[in-house]
Amino acid sequence: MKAFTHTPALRRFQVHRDLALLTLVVVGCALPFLSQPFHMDDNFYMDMARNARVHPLHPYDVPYDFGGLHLPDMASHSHPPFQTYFLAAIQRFAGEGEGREWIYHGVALIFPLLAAVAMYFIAARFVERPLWPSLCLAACPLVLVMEHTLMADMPTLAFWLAAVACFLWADELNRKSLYGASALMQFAAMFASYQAAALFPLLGWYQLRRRGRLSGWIAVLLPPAAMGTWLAVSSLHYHRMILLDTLGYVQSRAAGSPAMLGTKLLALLEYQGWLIVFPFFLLYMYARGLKGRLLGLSLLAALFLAQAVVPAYRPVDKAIFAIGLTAGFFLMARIGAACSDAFLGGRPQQTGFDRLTTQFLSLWYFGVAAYCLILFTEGSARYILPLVPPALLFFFRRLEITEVTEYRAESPPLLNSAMVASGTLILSLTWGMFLAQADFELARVYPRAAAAFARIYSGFDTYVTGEWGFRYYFGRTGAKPVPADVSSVRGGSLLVKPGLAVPYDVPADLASMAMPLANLSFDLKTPFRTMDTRVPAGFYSTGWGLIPFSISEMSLETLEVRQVNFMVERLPWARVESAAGVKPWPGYVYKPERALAVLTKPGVSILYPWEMRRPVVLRVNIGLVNAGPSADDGPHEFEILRRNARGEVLARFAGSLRPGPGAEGREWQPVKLNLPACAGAGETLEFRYLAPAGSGAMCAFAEAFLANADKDWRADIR
Amino acid sequence: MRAKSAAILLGAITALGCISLSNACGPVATGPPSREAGVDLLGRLVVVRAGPGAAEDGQSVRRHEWVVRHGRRLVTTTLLAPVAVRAGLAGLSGRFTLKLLAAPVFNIGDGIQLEVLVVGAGDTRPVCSRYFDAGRVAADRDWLRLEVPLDLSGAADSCLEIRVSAGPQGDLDADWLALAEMRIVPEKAAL
Repeated sequence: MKAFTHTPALRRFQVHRDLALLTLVVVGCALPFLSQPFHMDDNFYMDMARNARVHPLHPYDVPYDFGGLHLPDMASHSHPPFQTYFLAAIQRFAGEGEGREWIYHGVALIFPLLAAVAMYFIAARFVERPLWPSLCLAACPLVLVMEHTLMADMPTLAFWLAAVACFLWADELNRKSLYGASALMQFAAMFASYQAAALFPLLGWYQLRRRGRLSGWIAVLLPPAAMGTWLAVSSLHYHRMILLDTLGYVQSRAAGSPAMLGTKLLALLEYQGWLIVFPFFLLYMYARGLKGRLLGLSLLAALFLAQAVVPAYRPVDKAIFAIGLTAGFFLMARIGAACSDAFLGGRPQQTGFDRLTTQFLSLWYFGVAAYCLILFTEGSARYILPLVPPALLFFFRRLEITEVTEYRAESPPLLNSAMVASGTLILSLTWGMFLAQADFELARVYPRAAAAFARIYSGFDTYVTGEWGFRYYFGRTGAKPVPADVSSVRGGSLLVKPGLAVPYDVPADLASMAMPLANLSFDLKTPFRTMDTRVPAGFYSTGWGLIPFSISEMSLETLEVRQVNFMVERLPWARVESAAGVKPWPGYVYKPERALAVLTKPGVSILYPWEMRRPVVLRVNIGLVNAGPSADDGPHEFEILRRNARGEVLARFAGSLRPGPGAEGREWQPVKLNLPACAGAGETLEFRYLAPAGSGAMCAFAEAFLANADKDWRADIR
Repeated sequence: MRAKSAAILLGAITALGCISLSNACGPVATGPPSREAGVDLLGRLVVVRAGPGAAEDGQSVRRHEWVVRHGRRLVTTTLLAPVAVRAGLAGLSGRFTLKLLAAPVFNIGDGIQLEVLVVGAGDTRPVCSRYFDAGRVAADRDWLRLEVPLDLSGAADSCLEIRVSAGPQGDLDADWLALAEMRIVPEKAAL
């Protein structure tokens, strides 16, 4: 059986029909998710795009805080700036703001469309019915999830496929214009992701084996030369070899350690098993040996491995692990066997391809698998996108071969090749839409969270310690990443830390002054999880789990909100009047839970300069420390005074506690006091403590929160 | 022939991968320490006394702890009061300067008292005393550079003792003092 035997000319009706169908599928699958909020690292590219509009030649030349690290520039980021420029162009014309995400996703649809069309022309070179693998690429679960993000992965795949398609047909038709187009696409792929440099050895090898013409060599050599020039110019600008720092980052994450290599290998198999086509069909096609016993034995072995490698996973997660591992293993094993035969000349596998094609596709597949293992710091589903096309070509070509053998067989199989092909397409698409919906809902958590947060806590300086859409949507409400020098974070500021979105800790000095204020939890409607901390779903990173999805009914994200205690943070700038000469100090009291307080001896007045430009509510608990039941020495008096610059009292609280036999004297007295906004310089907030002479007690002003006057200040939101 | 060239290409790709991996994972070359660098003391610190309950996990000294102050991130040895540590100075004789950066890790508590002493044969000489009060003094919320002259003439087996204790109110909460870049340099180099 021969592969596609005629040129898929653009004039032919069949090609028009196929491309129209492909476009329909791509657009149809994307439409429900066009409004997807910015997700994962979209935020980073949006930040860089803003800088690209100011500094177009060096868009990464901007100080940036990421994951708690404070970097002078982002030149050594893992991706060159193609996507940054792309988003900068959209920002220029569409702007940013609520409800504009669909514009970005709508324009970015060009990438899955280009990928599907390019796949069609690549498939036309190798298989009889190119529509099937290209449709299956468009319906591939991995593509369905990734095409709704604005990271560099879909552009890389699209340009990669376009470069290969142009090159193959340029070689076939001897068209210099196609070589030129291929060179342009290769450069675009490399300018989107460094790993696309793998195209150079891949196409170079093909060119060598086909004894290609000079124009082919130029098309192969020009893109890496252009990338090299760009890297050299960038390195001159930044006064360092920018890729060395990228490699340094890889080194710092121990990417080559045996444990990490093992993790990445398992993840590579898991992602392939679950995310290229629905795993049933991989198992049906590749794991039916020994009258079905091979599949049973393999699944059993995978379950044993799951028990050994991830013993803490729930049974359902172990089952997901075992199925993905088995399906991924058989896919890789079959392509490996074909590769081995093609290169070493052993027993011919029934791939349906000639030796050169098998070599080319298996080099493509294993080249991507190799750099996924070697170069990346962790496993991620998106990294394997470029190996999906050769895997689909092997799969569908085998189906075509099976179709012929079925035709000659005496009895038809239970599932014939047509049923497998259409089943693969429909079930993969359905499965992909479920996952895309789960990812869509995950992305929607953060705009929801930012809106809920802003309703309660608007007006206070807010700092976030997380990434992804969390950072983007909180940034829209005015929140900033925690600065490198946290001494600029003032008392009353809020610190928000996610549970899922790459949380990191603030420095210990700032953390010591922060008090827990609220936990905001967010649920999803779907039980599917692409990323989670409570179940091991790690679609985007093996740091979260070894399986690409999981199932859960628990809350997905919980934001921890803390407030920097203004009494503690501002204490060095407060004026203290003390009869005993002992200045108050910040410390812990137990009521009975540990609470941060300012502790003071009797006869002390603490005057804080008051600069809050809006009315707030002060909530504080006042109590006595070291006052035993027998210390009935009279009333201990407290006063809180909010004064303007002329010394006039704008707000006042006065109270007393009388320690002694009565338990009420030793309880904590909650105080709520409305504090008017500061109208100018010289205004103060004063705390006073007076006690009978000789008292050994101390007063604690504990958990001094500032809140909006009209809001449910300590809400737990779901 | 084709299989051979393909095998060569595969081998080349693998070799390139291995080279890039070995480059990424190889050790970073460092030069010999300069005279200005002096003798690093942080690695020599050993605990000689520790108070009960200095830390929840029973540790009084935390080594290789990253501490950030005023945006400056340093790897430190952090002492949890009350504790006394010593660093041997055997073989050092003459006039030296002890240099270090110190900072309270937290901004709460009634302060931390630092004492530095030179302990010889039957002789203990205090050489530096410093009270850190990050809760109430803004300047103490930063790295503080200490330079302490040390006269080790005629002391063959002396050692340096560092004591960290609570503030005047005896409040031991959060009394963690971070020490970084602690070294002893000959006086000439110190100038």
